[in-house]
Amino acid sequence: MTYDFVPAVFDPATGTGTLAFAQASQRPVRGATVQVMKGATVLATTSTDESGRYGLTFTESGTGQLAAVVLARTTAPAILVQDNTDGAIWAIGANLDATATTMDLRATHGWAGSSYDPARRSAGPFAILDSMTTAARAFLAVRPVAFPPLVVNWSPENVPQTGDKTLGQIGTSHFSPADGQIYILGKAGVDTDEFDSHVIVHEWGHYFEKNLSRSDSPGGPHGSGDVLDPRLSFGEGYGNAIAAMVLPESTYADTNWAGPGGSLTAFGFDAETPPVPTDDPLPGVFSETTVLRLLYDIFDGGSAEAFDPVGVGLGVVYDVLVGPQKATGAFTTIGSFVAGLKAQPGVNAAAVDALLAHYGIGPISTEWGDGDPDLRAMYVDVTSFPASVNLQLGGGFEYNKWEQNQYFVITGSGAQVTVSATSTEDVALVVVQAGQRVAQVDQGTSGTETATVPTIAGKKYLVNLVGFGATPGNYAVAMSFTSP
Amino acid sequence: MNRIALASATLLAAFPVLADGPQAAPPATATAAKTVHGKPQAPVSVTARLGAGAATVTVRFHSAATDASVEVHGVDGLAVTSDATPLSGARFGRGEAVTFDVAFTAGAGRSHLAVGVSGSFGGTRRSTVASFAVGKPTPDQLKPAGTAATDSKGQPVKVMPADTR
Repeated sequence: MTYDFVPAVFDPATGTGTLAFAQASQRPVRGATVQVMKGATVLATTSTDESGRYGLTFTESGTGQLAAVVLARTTAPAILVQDNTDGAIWAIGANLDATATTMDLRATHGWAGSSYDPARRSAGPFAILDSMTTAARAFLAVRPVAFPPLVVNWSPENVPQTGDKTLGQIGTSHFSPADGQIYILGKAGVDTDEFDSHVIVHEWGHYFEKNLSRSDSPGGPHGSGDVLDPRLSFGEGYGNAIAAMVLPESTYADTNWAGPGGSLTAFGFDAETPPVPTDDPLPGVFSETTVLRLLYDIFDGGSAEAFDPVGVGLGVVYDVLVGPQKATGAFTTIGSFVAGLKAQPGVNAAAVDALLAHYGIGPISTEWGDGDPDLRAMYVDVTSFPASVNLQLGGGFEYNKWEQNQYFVITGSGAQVTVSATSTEDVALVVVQAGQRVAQVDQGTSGTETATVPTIAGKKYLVNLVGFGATPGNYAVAMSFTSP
Repeated sequence: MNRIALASATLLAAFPVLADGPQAAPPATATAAKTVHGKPQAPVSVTARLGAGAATVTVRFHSAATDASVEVHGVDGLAVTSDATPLSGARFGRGEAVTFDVAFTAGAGRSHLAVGVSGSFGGTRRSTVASFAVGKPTPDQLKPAGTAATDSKGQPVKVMPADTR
């Protein structure tokens, strides 16, 4: 059992790329469910092995056509690829001669030179399945991991339009925390991602975060050069870095039909080597590009890079993600990751600091970002009550940018705490304890927002002030904290 | 980057403003902001107001862009009859937007207007595509691909023809 793999290629030197159909190759479908069917009756079931081979015995009975069917579903790890427009699992099949002793099936890409033949475009679900299997097995090779079941939704009708997902309107390829599922674009002539393995694994990385680690990222639009909320810069830099680590291939490529006349094109970046001029104009903890390259350098050997004496490998990266990064009392940022990394056996903290310095980040020593003034300044400790804090947020930026966010840290006493934020602009408050949201208020577009939460003695509570001021320029917010 | 004033002492902060644009992003609220972890793409939003044979498209740049271009084309039979490159080599500040009209002939049933935006954002070339559905699908378009079946657990399966040997 094989599928056509089409490389998504991008050359950082020229800034060009495409889906290289001429370089397509057949790859084995690993660990997929195989069924022999007689009409609608399943006579026997097995799975393909690492080479895509399968073997089973069956006794023909019932009525209808005898057929071999291979599902885009694996059991270890449990991943299935379904069509979100009708909920059916993708599969390929062929009629089976009862006297035959072998049956090789191949899922084809269906590209006919200038467009797809819809009837032969069957490789996509198996390409997605294979990229995610590769990601999961990379971790399984270094650590025992119990991956929870994953549902991936792909359809040739999936378009970059927000709306009804059963109509294919998925917005973009994404992981949805709401249902824990991944959605992948598939509309030919617009944007197809089934062969964009870095995109696939980037979204798989968000599934990993949600189920095995933790993400406090607010999500939303982001890009290179943006000064992001550090939870977002970590989450997105992490997603790209994980793809580079596990595929393993340092060059990210995302193809689409945005070229002249709707022609195929691509953009991408190299996790290892920045271009000249740089694609990271504002390096530091708020840059997803910084986080991408920092995490990749933490992972890789870096023998050719004098600034990179760190190479902990995927096992230690996993240990940090499922350990201190998941348990942090702070928000999940590069600060919590680095603090957790330094706590791992055998990790040279001084070497990590040297690498951090290369990326314009201070020698982070705690999950709160101590050592890096920019990150530490995100957190304001509220040590007594009542307290008031006046601050300025930056208007005209989106809600997920650094300029629109500030964190406050409260240590619970067992008593109730009331937090208020007053501004002429729209602000909201989110209260979090150990990664769990305990309160959120966003009642009006100006005035005062107030959240009251009970506390547990000794527990840390994080208050995230989020601004939505739309007018460019600073605006004032008055914070107050009271506890009886 | 201290933007905090403790107690009542107000301290105006100094922000590293990247690039101010004359038009700000539309206000959002926390409750309206749905958390989605999407793939990296050009930091723009594309909206369209569709009419009969025409669309008014707005591209808003969430980050400053240079060498920005917009390409429009049709999918599933839709044919763009106006300029396929409404914008080329343009520069935008953060929060700026551009609006243009696109004329098209719709395809049979449901077809799509695709809008591709590319540019250099923060030193990196990025692109994104948005599409907008036009019309209602025909019965043929609603016909599912493949052959319907069920797996051993009773879950629906969509079987596409395989190449065999």
